[in-house]
Amino acid sequence: MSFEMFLFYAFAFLAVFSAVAMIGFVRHIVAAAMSLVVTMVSLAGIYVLMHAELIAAIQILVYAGAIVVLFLFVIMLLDLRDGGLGPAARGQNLVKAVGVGGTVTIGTLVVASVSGVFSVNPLVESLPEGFGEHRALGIALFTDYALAVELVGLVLLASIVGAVILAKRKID
Amino acid sequence: MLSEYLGVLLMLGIAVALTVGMLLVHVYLGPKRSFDKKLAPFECGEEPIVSPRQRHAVKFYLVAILFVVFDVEAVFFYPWGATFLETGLPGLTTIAIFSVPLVVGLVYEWSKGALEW
Amino acid sequence: MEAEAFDVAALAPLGFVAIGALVTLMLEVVLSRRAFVGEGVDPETRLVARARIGIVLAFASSAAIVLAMYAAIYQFELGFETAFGPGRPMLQLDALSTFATALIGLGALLSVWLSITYLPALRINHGEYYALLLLSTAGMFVLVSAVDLISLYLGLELTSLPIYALAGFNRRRLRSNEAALKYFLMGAVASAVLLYGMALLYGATGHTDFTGISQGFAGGGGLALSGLALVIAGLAFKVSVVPFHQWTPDVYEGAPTSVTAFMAVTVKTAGFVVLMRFLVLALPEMGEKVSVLLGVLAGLSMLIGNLMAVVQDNVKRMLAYSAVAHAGYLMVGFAAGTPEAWTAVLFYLFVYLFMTVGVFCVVIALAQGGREWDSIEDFAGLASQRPALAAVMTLFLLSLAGIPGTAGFMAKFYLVVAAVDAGQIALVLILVGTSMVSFFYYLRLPVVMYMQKRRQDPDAETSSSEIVVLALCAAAILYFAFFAQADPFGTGVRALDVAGRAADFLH
Repeated sequence: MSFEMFLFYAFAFLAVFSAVAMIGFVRHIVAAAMSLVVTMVSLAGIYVLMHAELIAAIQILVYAGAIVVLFLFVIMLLDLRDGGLGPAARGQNLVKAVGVGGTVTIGTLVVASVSGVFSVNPLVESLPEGFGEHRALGIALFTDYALAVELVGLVLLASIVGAVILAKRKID
Repeated sequence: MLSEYLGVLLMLGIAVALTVGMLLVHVYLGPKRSFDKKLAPFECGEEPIVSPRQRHAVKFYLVAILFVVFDVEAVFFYPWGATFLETGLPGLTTIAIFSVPLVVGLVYEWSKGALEW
Repeated sequence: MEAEAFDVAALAPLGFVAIGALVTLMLEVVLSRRAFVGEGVDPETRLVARARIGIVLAFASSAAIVLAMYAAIYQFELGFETAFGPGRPMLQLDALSTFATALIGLGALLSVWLSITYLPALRINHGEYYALLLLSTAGMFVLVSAVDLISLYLGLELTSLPIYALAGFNRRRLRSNEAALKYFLMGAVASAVLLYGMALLYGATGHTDFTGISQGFAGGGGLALSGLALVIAGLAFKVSVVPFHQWTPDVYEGAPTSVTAFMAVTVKTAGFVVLMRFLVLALPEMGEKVSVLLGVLAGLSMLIGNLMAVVQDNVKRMLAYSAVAHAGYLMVGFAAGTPEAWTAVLFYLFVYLFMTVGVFCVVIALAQGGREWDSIEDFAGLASQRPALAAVMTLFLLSLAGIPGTAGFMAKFYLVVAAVDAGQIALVLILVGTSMVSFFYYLRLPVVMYMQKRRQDPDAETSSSEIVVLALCAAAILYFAFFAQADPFGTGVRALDVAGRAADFLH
């Protein structure tokens, strides 16, 4: 096993483990949010291994940074007195999370191995020059996917309006 | 490919070593005369021990979510700026149209007082 | 680097609605300055000012939608067919997408008209409503012409995000908050499932565009199949097919009724059209396996939707389960998968629009004093007090039940014929059987309206915009009951032929 494969499995294990920990066995809800940060950062590591450097940077900036901070604000807004979930609820969550996640993962793995996906590794040979760098991404975004970028603008506008209408204290 | 990241790893290593080293130096060389007031954490005259679970107002949330939206917007500006020469006028047009809804959104939230504290 | 020239005119409907949304939002900002509706103004003046602003915004958004519909109909008549997108095709403009665009535009237009007096009645007359509605409509225009997983996903998000906010638009009402939260959480999970499926499809085939996926599929493979199942599950959520329907009753009940009407009609149309295009373009050879899967979904939806509707005491909840049942009927057409079946599905969606908007419009006409009148008891004795309203309500319900003499019967008839031709006998039997069950709950309301004494006394007048919507829907239901395939006034347009033309471009 090459060092890259080792890193991939390490990041993958960390991502899955802290995702399960977030739902299942972290005692305090703020700690659960921190566990989510670990998942996000591990995913960024996997992106780097996939040569998607810009995406990895965005993953850390937007997800591990901004979005988790948003989660923390919501947690503080809710003001959970008992520090989050009791042990019974956590146990149930763990069973559910492992049940659902495990079923989907194992199902996918079984289907994938039956269909022989593991025998080929299509991504490695076919990477074009400069793949995943900001230049290649920028050129793709602003030529082939220009329409998608405009649509993202509209989606963001919708979320601004939605957030203001739902969360502003006084709307009259 | 990993050799490209050797520098990053090296820097990480130096940073960790430096931090841990300084802490250790402090532990071994610093004079230790402790009394009550000194052991209490100093927090600019604030009461140091309060419940961490204070209720925040919903306005924190609104500001945070608006920040995320414009954060995502900035993410799109970066690759455009980096490839400005290659994408040229079509790219400029794309980003200009892209920013129209966001400017409208900004004007909207401003006039609705969503940015007022 | 030269960008390839592309036909901007092809995007006219989308452009009109998107610009309409921006203009509406800016109009709202300019008109509702604090001098008019701010804190210092007395409540009476503020209410009047809000009402006027609402009318202006409703007019502006109607104009945008009418322009978009006009453009779509014009494109349909021209036989427009172009793949749009600089560099790579993201959207396919053809008879199907222009037909669906016009249909969604009509649904949005009627929803706007429903809102004009309903929003003030519920005291939620805020201008953002119209901007959100237009943004969602723009998303659906993207959705019905999407030929790439990326435009499909963006279209779906642009459709859903405004509706999450619209569902919670009545912030003072707990049920409305609940509806928004539930719809958002379930919708987020559905989006995740959809994305997972897309990732698997891309991983298995190496393409994100539908035709590329169909080529990649030629090699077969279980990975692509599981991706396909997840994509279908994600889309099935949006059109509330069992077992992805759990959000439907709570959201339909909790959301403001005009929003319920809007999403019941337009999201369903957009979701089914994109599913149709995806199935035909991406999996031309997958016929049988997929049709079994769709058949199971269809059967479950018909059974559970109709049986659950029987026990509901709230009209909006009952209509939600009825929507699940109708999604099941439509899925029968999907399981059949022949050109005739696609025609029948499109015609059904067309008729369904009038029935559903009509029936929700009656609920809206009853709302007053900041409250909905939507439990079945609220309809008691309505016939003696507002006979016209009771009569059209009965017509809409009979049409939903599929009683001969209404357009709903014709829609079901064509669907059954197409399904029998395709050999889906079991599904047709379920369809007919559950339709019998549905008579029970659809006819319960007329019985209550005509046989019982009036208990409550809402004295609201039916507003002129509501009368227009009700008359239009009632007229359409009666007209298409007899002239689905005929052309009595010599306009040269036959409804079924139009649907057939739209369905034909899939091949």
